[in-house]
Formats: sequence, C-alpha cells, structure tokens
Amino acid sequence: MTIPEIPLDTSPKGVAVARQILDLVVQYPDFERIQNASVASTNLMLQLKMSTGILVLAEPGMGKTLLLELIQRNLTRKDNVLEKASPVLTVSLDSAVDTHKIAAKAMMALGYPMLPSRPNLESMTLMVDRAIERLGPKVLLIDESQHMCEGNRDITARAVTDWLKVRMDKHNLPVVCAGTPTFERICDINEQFVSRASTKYVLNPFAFGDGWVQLMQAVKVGISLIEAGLLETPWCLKMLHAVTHGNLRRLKKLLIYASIECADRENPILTRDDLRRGFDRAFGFKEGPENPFYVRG
Amino acid sequence: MEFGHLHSFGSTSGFLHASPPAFSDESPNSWIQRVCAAHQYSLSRLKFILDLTPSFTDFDADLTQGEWERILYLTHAPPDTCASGRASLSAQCEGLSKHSLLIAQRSAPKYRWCTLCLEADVLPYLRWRWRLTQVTLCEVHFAPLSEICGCCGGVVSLSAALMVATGPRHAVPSLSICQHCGMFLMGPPVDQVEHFQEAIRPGRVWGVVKFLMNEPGECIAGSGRNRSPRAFYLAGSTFETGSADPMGHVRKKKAWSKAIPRYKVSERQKLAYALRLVRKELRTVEAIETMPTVGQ
Repeated sequence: MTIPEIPLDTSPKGVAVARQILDLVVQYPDFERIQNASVASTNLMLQLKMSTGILVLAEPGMGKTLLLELIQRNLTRKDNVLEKASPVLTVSLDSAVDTHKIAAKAMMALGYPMLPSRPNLESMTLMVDRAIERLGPKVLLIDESQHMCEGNRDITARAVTDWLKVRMDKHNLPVVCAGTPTFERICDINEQFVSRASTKYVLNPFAFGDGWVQLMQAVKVGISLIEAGLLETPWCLKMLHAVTHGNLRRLKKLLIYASIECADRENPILTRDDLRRGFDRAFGFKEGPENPFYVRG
Repeated sequence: MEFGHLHSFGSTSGFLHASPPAFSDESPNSWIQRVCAAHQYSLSRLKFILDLTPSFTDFDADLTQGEWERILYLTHAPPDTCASGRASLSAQCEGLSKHSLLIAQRSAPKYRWCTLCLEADVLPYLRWRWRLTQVTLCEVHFAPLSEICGCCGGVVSLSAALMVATGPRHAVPSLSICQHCGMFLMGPPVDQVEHFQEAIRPGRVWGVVKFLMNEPGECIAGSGRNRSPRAFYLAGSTFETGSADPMGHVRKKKAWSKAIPRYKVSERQKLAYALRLVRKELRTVEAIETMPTVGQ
C-alpha cells in the first residue's frame, strides 16, 4: 500500500473552508423539536417550581453538546437589556465521576474561584447549596452524563444521581442530562431520580431518506467557499450515508478533508476524487475497494 | 460597583457566594475568618483569591478602600459591612502607628474578649473594639476583657484561618474556642485553675478516658508554639498493630496501654482537656436538674 503525500501545512483557503464546515449548524427537525421542548419544559418547571429533569440520549457525534449550548443560549437570552438574567449552570462530567467530583464541578460552575483547602463533600455541598440559593439558577445542564454509568459503577451512579436529586428537590432546580445511550442504564439504577427526570428524548442517527436529503441540501447551502453541488447527486447521497452511517460528526469530518483538497484549485468544485482523498485522511488510509469513493481503472 | 478587571483578579475569577453577613460591631478580621470558614479556604488561599500579598496579615487596618470594595463585591456583601469597625479603626490609626493602637502578636492581629459576650453569642464573633490597646472593659457588660485563655494561657491571634483545618493544625468549630487547647474561651479564669486541678485528679482514672481527645474524637492539634501534632487516644480504643493511627502514623508493634500517650503532652494540656470534660459534665448535670419531670 502506498500512502499519498500530504502537505504539512494547510493553505489559508483550506483552513477557511474547513472552519466554515466546522461551524455549520444544521437545525434538522428532530434536533429543533428537542431543543424547543427542552426550553419550554424548563420554563414551565421554573414557573411551577417543580423539580424535574430531562434526559437526552444520542450516539456520539449527534450534537448533544451543541444542543445543550443552544438551550443555554435560549434560556439566557434577555428580552430586556437592563434585566439581570438568572444563570444557567453547565457541567461537563469526565471519567470516574463520583459525588465529590460532581460537587466540585458544580462549585466551579457556580462561580467559586477555587475549591476548599480540604475539599470534602460536606463543605462543598454546603457551598453549592448556598450559591444556588443566592444565584437562583434557571437550570443545570449536564453534558457527558454517560460517565456516571460507565463501567461497573452502579453504586457510584446511584450516589451521584441521589446527590443531584436532593439539589433538584431542595432548590426546585431543573436538570437536563445529555449522554450516550449508556446513560439509559440509570433507569435501572436509580428509579427515584428517573421518576423526577422522566422526560427522555433520543437523537437517532439519520436514516437514508428524505431527512438525509434535506440535511445534505442544507449542508450544501451552508458551504459557500467551494462548489459542493456533488453532494446532492443520488450517488453521492447514498455513498455518504453508507460511509458516515448517518452520523453528523463523521459527515463533517469527511467533508472538511474533502473540501481542503479542492479549496486551492482555481475552480474549487468538489469531486469524487476529493471525497476519496478526504475519506483517506478522515478515516485512515484504505486501499482499493475498501475506500467507497475509489474509482476502478 | 463594577470591576471590569475581575476576570484577571488574583490569577483567578469568581465569587465567594457562601459568605456570611457581618455583624454590625464585628471586626473585619473576624468576618474574614468566618468567610474563610464558610468556604473552607485557608487564609493564604483567600489572600490569593483577593489578590493580596502573602505577607498581608491585618484586615482591620491595612486594607485600602479599593481592596475592601473588591472584597465586598466578591462576597456580595452590602457596602455597610463592618462599616463602624473600619471607620473607627482607620480614623484612630490615621497619622499614628497602628501598632501603638491595635494589639498584635508578631504582626498577626490579636484580640481580647469578653467572656460574657461570647457566652451570649449564638454565632460567636470578635468585636472591633476588643482589638484596641486602650479598651480593657466590655462596653456591654462592664466586665474586664480577657487576654489569655483561662485553661492554657494562649492568646487569640488571627494569623491563620482558625476554623479551617490546614496542615497539621486542626480547626476550631467557632471563634469562642481557644485555638491552642480547644477549650471554650469563656472557661475558668487562671486564678481558679488550682481549684479545678484538685477536682480533676480523680478524673485521670475516670472510666476509660485516660487520654485527651477533642469532642468529635479527633486528636487535638499542637499549639502555636509547637506545630508538631500531638495525638491523644481513648485507652479503650483498639487499633490493629502495624496499621495507621488516626494521625496517619504507622504504629510500631507495641501494646497500646504502654504506648499511651504516644506523643509528649504537657500537664497543662491534659488539664485543659480535663477542665473541658468537667464543664461538660456540669452542664449535663445542670440540664438534667432543670429538666421538667413528666407529669409535673
């Protein structure tokens, strides 16, 4: 197998088109529906002073983090410039999360400058409670929630969700948890938490059909720096779906590398050959028929 | 009050949300101690957050107006926090050496206290007047202010966050507890110690309590003069030989009964703890006596 030569530096045009694709936000119907429903539910929870939550489950690369960002943006939008908006807390969990770690993350999200000199759970929880009482945040958004349930950690997951449950009840704080389908195990681990966070939304990968076609049309419109008419051809639609399995992150990755290939040409039109080279760079070099964009002969 | 430079503030940013409100006659140092306790920050950590130099010690007199306003902003405190104390202390220190007006020990703020005021406080705190050299009487009770702990002879010196456990030093639960011996500052005066000493003698063989511990069962910290931790254990406690004791020291294979007390403990400290036990005992007896009988 011969590995083609790749320039060490990407040209400014290539970087510009890559940036354009990376920043592209396509609001497809399911995504928009979940976003609006989450915002509406949170507002209702705040009005009713009811402790409840929302679980968002999606495969990696389907836009969970983006969804939380959009919810946050929506909830912190001020109708009146002089109005002081209540904050929205955002916490991103990492591996082996436990009650100490979530309390520490919540502390930092609430704006404490540092952790206590000896960070024990009692003092951190007390500080979190005091800050929530003082600031009255609208909602707690938790990204990467699947880390609570990953591995053989049922007891820890129960403890973490119990800690959350107490905060939800005590302060009427709505919680939105987003994670991969692994997080669904929480339904078996802590029924009390799930009874409060009973709304569950699932973002599935795109099936090949009208939705996929509409998505590709929107992507084509969003990429203005190169001519990406190829994306709308039936062959390309089918091939891209087969390669990316309807996953947005994979699609973006492939398109970024393919666009870089054609960005420097005098007439920047996306071709099948660009997609082939883009596939190589995005998913590793594959020789011959292993690369679906490979052209025989 | 707006601070645009907040995000580059002391290499960190954020707010001290858990800060308690100050009492009207509270000294700034005392309030800062309670702010530290509410956040479990050591004094050096708080100074780092507030962008103060590590050598800074005195919040009563050394803060500029700008620095004080920043503290109020970060703690969400109202502008009149400790206003009387700050105004009076800075007015008195103006143009004069503050060391001649305010009591200090090795540049750390030092306080006298009124035992009756501390006894009456639900949340004990130090008044700014107790810092003044000339003030030796309590303005509320007209009682003489104490300067040394009745049990161990230690002073109240705010060189560290007393209610935060850092390093080998253990935390005191409130400002009415002596930082050296862990006894209440409103304990018996020094001239009555002998009387208590007599009373305590049989106490050395009281039940299983032969050694000194603080109330949660932890080891009492070393005094300010001797920073090495000193451990006391209940004689009835059993620890496996070779395992780590509560202080983290791995024990040698030795019979506990012979090894106790493991660390050198002064007679004075033993007495201090014993006095505390007596006080506790007396309070319990008093409480039982005053308890209404069912059916009366």
